[in-house]
Amino acid sequence: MSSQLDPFLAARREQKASNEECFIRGKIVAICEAALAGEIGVIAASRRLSGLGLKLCDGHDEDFATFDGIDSETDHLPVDRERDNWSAEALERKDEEISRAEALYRDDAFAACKKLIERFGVRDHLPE
Amino acid sequence: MNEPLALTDPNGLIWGYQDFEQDGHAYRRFVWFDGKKVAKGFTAFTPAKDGTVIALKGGDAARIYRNGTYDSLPGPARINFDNGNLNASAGAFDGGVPFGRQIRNALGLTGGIDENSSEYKNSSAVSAGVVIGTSMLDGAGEVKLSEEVVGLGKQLASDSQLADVMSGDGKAIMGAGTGRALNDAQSLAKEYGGSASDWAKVSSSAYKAKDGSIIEVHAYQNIRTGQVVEAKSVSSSFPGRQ
Repeated sequence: MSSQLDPFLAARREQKASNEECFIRGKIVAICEAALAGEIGVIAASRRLSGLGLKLCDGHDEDFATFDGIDSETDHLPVDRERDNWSAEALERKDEEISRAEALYRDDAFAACKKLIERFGVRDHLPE
Repeated sequence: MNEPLALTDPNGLIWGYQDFEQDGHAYRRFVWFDGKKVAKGFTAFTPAKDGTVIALKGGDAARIYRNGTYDSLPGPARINFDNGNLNASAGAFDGGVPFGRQIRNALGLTGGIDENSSEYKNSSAVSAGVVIGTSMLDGAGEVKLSEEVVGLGKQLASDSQLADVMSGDGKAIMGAGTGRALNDAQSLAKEYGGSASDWAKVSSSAYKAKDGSIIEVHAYQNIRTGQVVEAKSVSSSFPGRQ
């Protein structure tokens, strides 16, 4: 369909795609840094990174596979804003499982976060 | 067995399908018409007054179902479900592409549709080269698909992904062969057999729907025996993934 678009609209669409890609890359780095700093849990970070990875790479990418796996393994657990929808009693039951999962996947997730920061960080674009 | 599902798109077509289980997995569909199952493996259909059914299959030709057998549509009229679009290749219906209203007209169907509606009139505007389901132009000149069409595209993609994963074409993302620990490996071995080190979480390829969401099918696979269990659909539009 793009060949039928007005050149101005085509250029605008291209610019929009480019801006979105930059935005996603920045988001990925920010989430990885927050996870490494302990500001966001491994499960919550994995959920976001898995989705962003698919969006950015238009499919599977090996550097995001760790987060795809963690997300898939823990998608029944209430973390982040989703906790607002759960009762305190249910959360208490699930919190133990969340702690176990966070501990189990921490090392793999941290290693994958460092790799993504290296890949998508702005360090390479700064002048020497 | 789930209840038959059906929806009517703005062209007045009724799409229907019904889940069924095979070997413990619900990954195919029955074509359902007038309360009866008429075939399996087809993913959508539209019924006609004379008892005819046009059955549609992802990536396959459209067929007319009559008296227990399928005939190809005149034309030919091949209909593909590609990336959320309902695309038809060139056919014999008034020199254009047969879909929606044209198929209905060819079969003499008029019931259940308001021919003065804007959707009905718009549908005739997209008949050159490729037909894109029930579409509208948005402010930026880009084609926007109706929710029904996007949903049907996702459903077909998910069916296809599930078939791939069930046939062993999933990619391991955790557990055996990945170097990443699989938390559920012990319980999988206990429940389905084999050793914990044989189990992996596998994923289908990703499908990007026209609404921007990305869907996949995940399952557990015993890499030694090929057994695939506990398949599920996942989407980037699920909570917490934006």
